[in-house]
This record gives sequence, structure tokens and C-alpha cells, in this order.
Amino acid sequence: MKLFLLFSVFVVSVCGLVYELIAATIASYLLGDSITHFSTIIGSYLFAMGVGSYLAQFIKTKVLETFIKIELLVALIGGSSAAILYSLFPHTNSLYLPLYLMVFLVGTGVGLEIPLLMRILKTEMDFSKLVSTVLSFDYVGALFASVLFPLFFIPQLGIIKTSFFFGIINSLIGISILVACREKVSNYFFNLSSGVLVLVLLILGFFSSNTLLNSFEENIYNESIVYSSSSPYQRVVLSRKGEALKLYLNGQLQFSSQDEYRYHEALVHPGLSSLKNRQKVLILGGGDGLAVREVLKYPDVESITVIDLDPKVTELFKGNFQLQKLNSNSLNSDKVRILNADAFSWLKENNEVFDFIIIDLPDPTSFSLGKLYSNYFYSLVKKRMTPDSLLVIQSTSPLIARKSFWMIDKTLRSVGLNTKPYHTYVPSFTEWGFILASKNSLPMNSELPSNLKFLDNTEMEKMFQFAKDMSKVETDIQTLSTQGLVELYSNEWAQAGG
Amino acid sequence: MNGLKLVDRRKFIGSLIVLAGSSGLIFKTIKIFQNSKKAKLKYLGQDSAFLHKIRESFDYSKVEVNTNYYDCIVLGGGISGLSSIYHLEKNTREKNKSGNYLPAKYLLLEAQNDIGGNSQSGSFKNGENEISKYPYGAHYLPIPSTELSELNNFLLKSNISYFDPELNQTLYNPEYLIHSPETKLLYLGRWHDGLIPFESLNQEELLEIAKFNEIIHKFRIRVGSDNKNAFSIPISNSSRDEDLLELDKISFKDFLESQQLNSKFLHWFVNYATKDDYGCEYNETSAWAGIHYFASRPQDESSSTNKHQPDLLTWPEGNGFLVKKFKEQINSEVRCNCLILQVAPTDDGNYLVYYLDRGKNKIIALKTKSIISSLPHFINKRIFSSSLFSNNKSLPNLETDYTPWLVANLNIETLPAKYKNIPWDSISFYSDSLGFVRADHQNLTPKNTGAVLSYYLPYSKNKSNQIRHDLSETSLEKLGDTVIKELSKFYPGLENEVSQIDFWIWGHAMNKPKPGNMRQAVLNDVNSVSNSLYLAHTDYSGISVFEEAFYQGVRAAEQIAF
Repeated sequence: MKLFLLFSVFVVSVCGLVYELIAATIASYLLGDSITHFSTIIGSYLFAMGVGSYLAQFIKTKVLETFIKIELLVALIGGSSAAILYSLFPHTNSLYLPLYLMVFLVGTGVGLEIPLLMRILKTEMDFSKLVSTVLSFDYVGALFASVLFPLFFIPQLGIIKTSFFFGIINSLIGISILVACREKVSNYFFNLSSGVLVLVLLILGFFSSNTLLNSFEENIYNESIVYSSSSPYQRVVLSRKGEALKLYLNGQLQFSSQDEYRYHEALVHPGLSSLKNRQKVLILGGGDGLAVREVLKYPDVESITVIDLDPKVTELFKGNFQLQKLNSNSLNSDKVRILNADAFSWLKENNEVFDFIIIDLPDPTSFSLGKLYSNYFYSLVKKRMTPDSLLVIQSTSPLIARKSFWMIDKTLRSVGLNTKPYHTYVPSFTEWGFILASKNSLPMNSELPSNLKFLDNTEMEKMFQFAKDMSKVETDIQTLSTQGLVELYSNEWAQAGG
Repeated sequence: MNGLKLVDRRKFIGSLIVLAGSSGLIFKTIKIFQNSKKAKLKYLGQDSAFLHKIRESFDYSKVEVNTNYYDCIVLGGGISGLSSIYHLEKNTREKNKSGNYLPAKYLLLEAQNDIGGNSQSGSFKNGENEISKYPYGAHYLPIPSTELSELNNFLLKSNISYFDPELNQTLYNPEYLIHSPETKLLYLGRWHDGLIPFESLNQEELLEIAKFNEIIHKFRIRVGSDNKNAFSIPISNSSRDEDLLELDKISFKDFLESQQLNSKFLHWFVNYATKDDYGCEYNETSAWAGIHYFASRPQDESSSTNKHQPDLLTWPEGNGFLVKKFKEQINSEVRCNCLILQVAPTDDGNYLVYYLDRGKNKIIALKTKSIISSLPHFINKRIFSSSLFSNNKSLPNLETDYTPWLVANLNIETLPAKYKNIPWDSISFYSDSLGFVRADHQNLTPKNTGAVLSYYLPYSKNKSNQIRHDLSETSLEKLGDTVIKELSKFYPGLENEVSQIDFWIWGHAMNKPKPGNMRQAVLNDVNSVSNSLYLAHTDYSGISVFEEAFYQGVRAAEQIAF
């Protein structure tokens, strides 16, 4: 019995420390700034343990039963903490409150447990021996946890399953003590059934938690995964490296928060600033709200329609506070209408026309995405344009995928649009290309908004000049039945080693 | 003694090892649990118990005749039946100049729970959301030649094609023309573009292919002494020159050998073609029918106007899309779950159609002035009462042998990155099947995470009756294993991603165009077996293809005018 209880000190210590490490890791993943979070979380945890130890003196009766109850409670909260924090991430305005509340509850629980255990064991051991044995088990447990957590558990199970795993171990110990001491415990069956309930919940959590959120992906990106989910359409991953947030769709980088302003200012302003009438704007793709943020810099824009296939992306960028900060909360603006539809069907079923259309879709990395660069697609877009409307398309890198870039240009011209290609440098991407298109000639007398970080008139003039290694080349056009662009694109990026 | 005893320490270390071991074990089980995803198997095919009631005999004398009277009842809702009623309506409106009003009463009866025959289709759903539609059978239509004017009109009306006044040419909606990439062949351990792996064939094999193309080309451009194309769709428009009809006396295999064409690859290629279109091995296929497959449809060499236009139309639900277009345009009543049991004449020159209503489990009798049967020959033989045939008329004397087919649709939840670009049609030189067609290929919405593959297996090698018997005793698990094993040979590893397989078995998918059958089909231009009773099934025109079925409907409807 005694040995068993000492072993449970070890387990409690391991689990407690693991919960703390999980909280600190998640905080640095989801909120960034790892030094601050690690130190404040360890501090709060130790403080909470102190609170627990202090409170232990007030427990006078039913010491063993209370110990078991606390054990189960810690198992439940600690075990499910990672899953809860991750699932709150896309929805909540602040993670700080749930995060520190969990750290505090678990810390207090663990802090209560050690003094209670010592009181249970005091009849069986000499006091000085008791204190040093219990404390040494506690510290050995801490070492065990801190070594295995980063080396074994995170790489093998990922953070959510690790958290459930230790919750399960923790509750098993609680249940075992309960069974071993059933004569000394009142309400045995009630306690046993609540123990089993906790265990079952944690096991369910373990098996149903997102197995994809694991080290596998982290190794690929070599960055901390903040959010990841599979929608019916794509794999959405938001990651953090240092202070930079990055969005990946199917493994393809969509933006890095450090230089996305260069991309989005270049995407929106050359076209939109040169329009006299710009009440109605349409954005195909761009569910991150970053292009919308730029469009909202024009007070005379009255409505912005965002067509993005994936509700997971738009909900994420609408709901999370850090992403709201990044897109200036643009997706929650009254002017914005978000429709989760696929661009093709939406274009076919609608008759609305727009003054400015932005096509901000992923690169043609597959045949299914290649369809969104076909002459058929552009002919549908053209029907949504008035003679004065402007269209802008993100068109991959004219430096790395030179032929692909000019193939997009040629395809646009093949449906009867005039084009004006341009480019700019975005460090995360390399030299990047865009194409402006219109049914009529393209006017170029712009008045840029004053609050831009990158673009001014001098910079804009340069954008329309193409150096010798990016200048126009002859290509075919992209059609549904040939799809030459997809092969071209993949060859060109493969040659660049990308 | 205070503190820990030595034994306790040992126990303690022991329990640590046990803990480490058991967590390792738990971990292992989880891994196994995650990897062995079992695909859900579903049988959707025909309800043979209901359809086999046609074998039972009933007493029709007590059946009360319904008071409704019809101008024409079309039996069977396959393509020829749908084409029949579509053109009946069209002709009647045009003749009576009645606009949208239909001054006659038509009805279509279908035994299965949906119309479409071999062109039926279904879909995979994730709750309410449709993942992708898929075909249960026929899944593409070659661009029809301009001679098939009714079919071209139907495609125009259905917005599948449109007339471009600038080019003065009919163009097809790019959405429905086959998208790229089209076909890949697994040959000598790697995938090749197209059905012929030019870069992996030796000189001799390449020469034989060239020689074969030459022979086909001659047939394609040949016009007979009767001024008809040598090989035509509809079949009955083909030339009746005797030297051409002679080709119906030998098999396609014998024909190749008679031309000194012996290379293994060419023989495989030709056999693949006859299995694909006719569900028939080339050594059982009439040489006339085999050549017809290659020589009857216009090829790029003749249509020089638009080089980029591909040569076939396809949809995620296959020809189910065309069935949907029929549904949208047919106004008469279409009744499913009605198994035709008996067709008999009345004293006043009309007909009585007796059918078993599946829902009510009751026999219904309807009176009609005329009938178009678009049912296959083996059904007609059962349902046509002998009293129908006076005046020396009878059902044509036809030898039939129907190939059973298995069509399995596989839902692949996540397509691994290396397989994201699998083409429309994946074919293996080493498989008895026709391979896997990607049903979601024509979808315009990028659904990068998954795919739906349709697997086609005609049981053409063995005796059809034996196969039907064996299939009725084969478990779904066994069929599932076959399909999964095939997939693993095409795309290793992809079998682990299959979440659901929907099976459809066609007991009598199509009649084999054996030597002897085609001469009759070319010469047979009478399809009336009794006054106002017409046959419109492709069994009577030799080959089971959409264009032919469509034409049979056109022809039957032309002969009934109200």
C-alpha cells in the first residue's frame, strides 16, 4: 500500500509537470512570444501549487477520499486541456483567461495532493524519511516528465493526444488507489463510477482527437502549428515561427504576417486606386480578409463580396483575435458579405456585375486548381464585368514560373480582355506577379490611399517594368481540355527547386 | 526498518518498466487501430428478387382493367425508351402545332426504381453535402457525327452544345468536354500517357499499330456501292455491300490474324476496345462489330475545323447527366417500380399491358392504342403473349448472350499528394477489368482532399449464366476484396484511403455482338412486330451504345403519329 502511494506521488508529479509543459507549449504556439509564456505559466503553476498546499490544512476529514477526488479532477482538466485550448482558438477573443484558469486549477490540485498524501502516509513512515522520500519521488517524476515530454511524447503523439494520454494515466492511478483502499472510503461506488466516467471521457477524447495535428506536420513545416484542420476542400494549417504567423492551404504558403502587406497592397491598390467608380468589389478566394483590409481603405467602396469555398478559413479569420488584428477585423465589417461557395458555380448562377474583381486563388498546383485559370473560367468572370470594370489576378512568380505567368496573361487576352501585367518583391514568396485586365483600355492615373506601408507612386511605376529575365514569352492558352499550365507550373517550380 | 525496503525498490523499478512497457503497447495498438480503416460496403444494384417475378405465372383473367386509356405506352426507361417518349411528345406537338400542349396521352413504365437503364447514376454524400455524383454504368458519349441530327438537336436543347454564329459551327460546353488529363496506361511497370504506350513498344509493335490504323482508315473512308458509309451509326445506315457483311462471319481475332497482325500489344489493345464498348472478348466479337467500333466514329483527321476540341463528352454522373436532361424535358407520366408481366391484344385492336406494382404488390392492367417496347429481347420473349403475332409477324430470331458487369464506386477520402493528379481513366495492361475512371474528374470545384473512382469489370471471359449464378452467391466482402486488391495494383497505398464502396451488378448488361448478329442488324430495318407495336431496344440493332439506343427511340416514335 505504502509503495503504491509513493508510486502515485511519482505519477502525480509527472502528470502535473506535463500539464504545465503542455500549457506553456500551447501558449507559445497559439499566442507567440514563448519566453514570456513559459516563464509566466511556470510561475503561475508554482504559485497555484503553493495555494494548494496552503489549502490542504483545511481538509480535516476524509483525507483519502478528497485526495482521490482531486486526482480525478486534475486528470480531467489536465488531460483535456490541450484539446480545449485548441478548439477554443478559432472562436475566442482571448485565450489568456481559459489558459491561466486551467494552469491555476491544475496547479492548485497538484499542490493539494502532496500534503494530503504525506498525511495519509504519516502513519506508515518516520516523518523525516517521509518528507525526503515523497519529495525525491516528486523530483524524479519531474525529471522523467521533462525529458520524455519533448523527446518522446510530442514527436510520437502530438500535443493533444499526449495531454489525453497523461490524463488517462492520472485517472487510472486515482481509480487504482480507490479500489485498493475501498474499505477506507465512504461513497465507494459513487467515486468509482465518477472515476470510470472520467477515464472513459479521456479515452474517447484520445481516440477522437485530431490525429493529424501531430509532429508529422510540424516536421514538414518546421514551425509550430497553431491551428490545423481538414475541410472537405483542403488542409488548412496556421503556423507560427517567432512572431510570424503563416497560413498554408494544402501545404502551400498563402501568406506570412511579416510581409503580406507587400503582397496585398500590390494586389489591390494599382487597380482599385485608378477606378473612378468602385462601389462594388468582388473577391474570389481571399478568405483571410487581408485583401478586404486593403479594399476598406477606400471609403467610397460600398460593398465587398467575398467568395471563398471554405467556411473553415473564413470563420477562422473572422473569429480569432490575433487574425482579426492582422486583417484589421475586416471580415466583420458591415460592407462585407462572405459567401462560402465555389467560384465556378457562383459565377455561373449570378448576374451581378462588379466594378472591381480580385482573383486571389491558390496557384495551379493541381489539375483541379488549374481549372480556375482556364479560358472558360475567365469567360465567366468577364460576364460579371462592365466595360469600365477592372479585374486583377494573382498570377504566380514571373521570375520562377515565367512561362506560367505569361500563359495566364495570354489566356486572359484569349477571352477578349486587355491586360496589364505587373510584379513586386515579396520576401516570403520571391518576385511575385499580378495581372490587371479590363474589357476596355486600362487607365493608370492613381491616387493611392495615404495609409500604406509599402506602395507609393515611385514604387508603382517600377512595378510595370519587366526586366529581361521576366519579360514576355509566347505560350499556349490554358483550357479545361489541355491544362498545359499545370504541367508548366510544376516543371518551372521544380527547376527552381521549389 | 523505516523507509523503503530493498524489495520495494525492486518492485518499484519493476513497476516503472511495466508502465513504460504498457504505454508502448497502448501506443502500438493505437497505431494499428488508426491504419486499418475498413471501407464500408454497400450494394445498390438491381433488386433481382423483384425483377425475377417475371418468371412466375399469374392469372390475368381476374385483373380489372384500369379506366385510363393511353395513346402509347413505352415499356422500359432505358435510353431507347426515354428517347422514344421524348420524340413521341416532340413529333406530336410539331404535327399538331400545339406549342407546349400535348394532345395525346403517353406513359412510360420502368421496372427499376429509377429510369436510365445502363445510364443510371448515384452519388456519395457526407450528411447533406454531396461529395460527388458517379455513374452506375455508361459514363461517356463520343461527340456524335453531324448525321445524327436528332441527337445533335437534343444536345442543343439540353445546353450541352450551342451554335456559335461567328464561327458558324456547333461547339460544346467546355464544362462537359473531357478535361485533361485523359487516359493513362500501366504498362511494363510504369504509367504512360494515352492508351498506346508508344515510348515502350518495340519497332515491330509500332509497325503493327500503324498497319492496323491504316486498315481502319480505309474502312472509315470507304463508301459502299449503295452510297452508304461502310460503318455507320445507326448500324442500319451502314453499307450492305456483301464483302463488308462477310466480315460478320469471323471473329475480330481471326480478322487480325488474317491480316498478319499478331503482336501481343495490338491484340490486347483491340480486346480492351471490344470489352470496353461491348463487354465482349475480341475472339467472340464479330469482326464487323469490332471494326465498327474503330471506323464508325469521326476522328480528328476528318474534323479539321477545331483541332483543340476533344472527342468525347462526360460528366461526374456519367450518362446519368443525359438521363437528367431527358427527365427535365419529358412531360408525360413516368412510372417506376412497375414490372411488365404480359402484353396481350384486345378484340378492339388495342393492347393490354399487365404490370406488377412493387409498392402495392398488385397487378395492374392498362389499355393502350400502341406500344413501344424498349425492353431487351429476353424480356420481350417472356412478356409478349403468343396471340400478338398473327399475319406472319413474330419477334426476330435472335441468339442472345448477355455479359454481366460489376461496377463499383469507391469513395477516397483523402488523395495522397502523389496521386492528386490521377487522370480520368486509369487502365492496366495486366488487369481483366477496364480500370478505374475518376468520377469527380469533371467537377469544376476543386475538391483536393478526395476522389471518387468507378471500377468497371465486364465478366466477358466465362459463361454468362455461370457468372450470374456465382455472383448471386458471392459475398459483398469478397467483391470488396477483389476491388481493393485491384486498386492496390494500380495505385499502391491508395487502398487504405477507401472509405466506402458502392456496388452495382448488372446481370444482363449488354448482348454480345457475336459473329452472325451484325448482318441481321444491318439488314433489319423493320421494327414492327404487330400493328402499332414497335421494338426499340439495341438488342435488335446489334450494339449497346447510347447513340444507337437514342436512334432506336427516334425511329420507333416516327412510326407512331397522333
